[in-house]
Amino acid sequence: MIHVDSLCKNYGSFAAVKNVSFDVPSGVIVGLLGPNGAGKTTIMKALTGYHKPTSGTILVNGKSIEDDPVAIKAITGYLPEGVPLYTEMTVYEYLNFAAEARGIVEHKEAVIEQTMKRCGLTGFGDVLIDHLSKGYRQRVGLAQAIIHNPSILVLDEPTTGLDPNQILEIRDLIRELGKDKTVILSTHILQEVEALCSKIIIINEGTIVADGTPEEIADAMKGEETITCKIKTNSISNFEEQFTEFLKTPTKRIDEILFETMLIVPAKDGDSIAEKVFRWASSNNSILLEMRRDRLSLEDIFVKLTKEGGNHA
Amino acid sequence: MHKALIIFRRELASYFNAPIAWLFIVVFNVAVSIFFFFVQQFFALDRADLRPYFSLIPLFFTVLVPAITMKMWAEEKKQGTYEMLLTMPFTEYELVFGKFLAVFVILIISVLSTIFIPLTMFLFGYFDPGQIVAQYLGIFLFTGACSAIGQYISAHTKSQISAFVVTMLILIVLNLFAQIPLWLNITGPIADIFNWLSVNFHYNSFSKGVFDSRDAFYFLIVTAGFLYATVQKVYLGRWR
Repeated sequence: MIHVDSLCKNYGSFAAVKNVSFDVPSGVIVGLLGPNGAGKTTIMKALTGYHKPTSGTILVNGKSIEDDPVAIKAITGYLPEGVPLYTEMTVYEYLNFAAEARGIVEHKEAVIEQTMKRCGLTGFGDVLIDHLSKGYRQRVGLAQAIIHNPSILVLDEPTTGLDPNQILEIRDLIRELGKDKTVILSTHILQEVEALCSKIIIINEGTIVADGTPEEIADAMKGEETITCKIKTNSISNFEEQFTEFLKTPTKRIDEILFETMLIVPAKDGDSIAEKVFRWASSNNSILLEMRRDRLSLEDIFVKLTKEGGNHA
Repeated sequence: MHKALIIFRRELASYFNAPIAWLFIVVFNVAVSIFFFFVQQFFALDRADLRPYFSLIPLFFTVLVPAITMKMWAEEKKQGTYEMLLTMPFTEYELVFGKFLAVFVILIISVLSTIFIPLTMFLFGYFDPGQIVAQYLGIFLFTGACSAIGQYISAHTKSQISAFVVTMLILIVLNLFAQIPLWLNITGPIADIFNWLSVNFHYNSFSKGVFDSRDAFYFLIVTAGFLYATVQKVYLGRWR
């Protein structure tokens, strides 16, 4: 549905997005994840046709956004960061403007009412946007983005600044919308991505550091997984050398209380290393008190990718 | 065109809701009335002449038009609605023309709201309708040019105050061009150039009630030129 190829965007001499390529299939919710200033918003601005890329192409349904921006804007809904709205208008006036701008002529009133209902704005039609709380403004912003039933929805940090209840409501709405639309949302909240997205693109310093389903990204990072084990030996002896030699992999001691030692073992080979640990303990008259696989959470992956760098997926 | 009218309606509603448009009309009426009846001493002059009235309007517009045009783009940029607007399916031409039309209409309403002044005059004398048509046409053309210049300046900044000051300066300078040859005592082609550039020079014949197509052409060129420049400014802004 959306094909981004070698997208670059410079602001003056600053390269905000460097050679980014990715695909977004239709009907999925994609999360653009990255620290502040990573280039998420810039990518979204390019996707909506607000910013022209310095180089590279963006194809929507095979058509370049440069060639026919108005046609692509017509099938796209956009909620910019910070939810800018005309605060001097009432909710209904504003949505009426959005509907007209989107070329909705037939059953306009019904469409507005229905959109307001969908976004939980029923009864707020006559309220000035200026008098609305942040959560309700967010709903108005979403309502204007979906009023024309777009096939692509671009949401820049849709839950920032909301309270936990509002966040859940907006997420439910996005999940609902994601059933029949392609949704691209940016966030730096990891739970949000885990809760909503079937595809994740992690961006750092203007480049993509990981791209795939949450499972694919976790799989690609498997080399980073570890096993933590607690071994009880029968004497206070330094058994680690022997142990390390048996496993043929370096270990790291993290805790030691009398006969009990806690070690971290890299688990590149997955189960086989766990098996080796068990065999060593049983053949060396030691007791394995605890053994657990430390799977990387999205948070760990995020920190590793955006702080330590590297291209893993 | 239909899309431009959507922008036009929104802008117009926004000016009247805010309520900048109402405030503008009231201030303009008070200012023009005070000047016409007291400063220019219409009753003391004891002469039924519409020219003082039509020469007052450009003077006030030089100061007041920037107050209306300053927010045209600057406010959108400041509030972030600029981004929303530019990602809606409008072309730059529709956006610029819709906004222009809204400001133009508000200014024309302001002018027409002072119609009681010329009407008062009808009590005291006879006026040639053809002359009055030319005078009003001059005002409309002048208003169009001012709106286009103001919009162009507003598209350059987030700050409404900057847009206000710069627009006012430009309008003052455009008014003063005709004075430069007089101050410097120049005649000939150089003086002609200054005169041609001057808004006043072209407006004067209209305010006398004379319609000259060359003067109309000047205002139309300035209006179209600045509208086109605004379109380009908005369009190129995407390469920022």
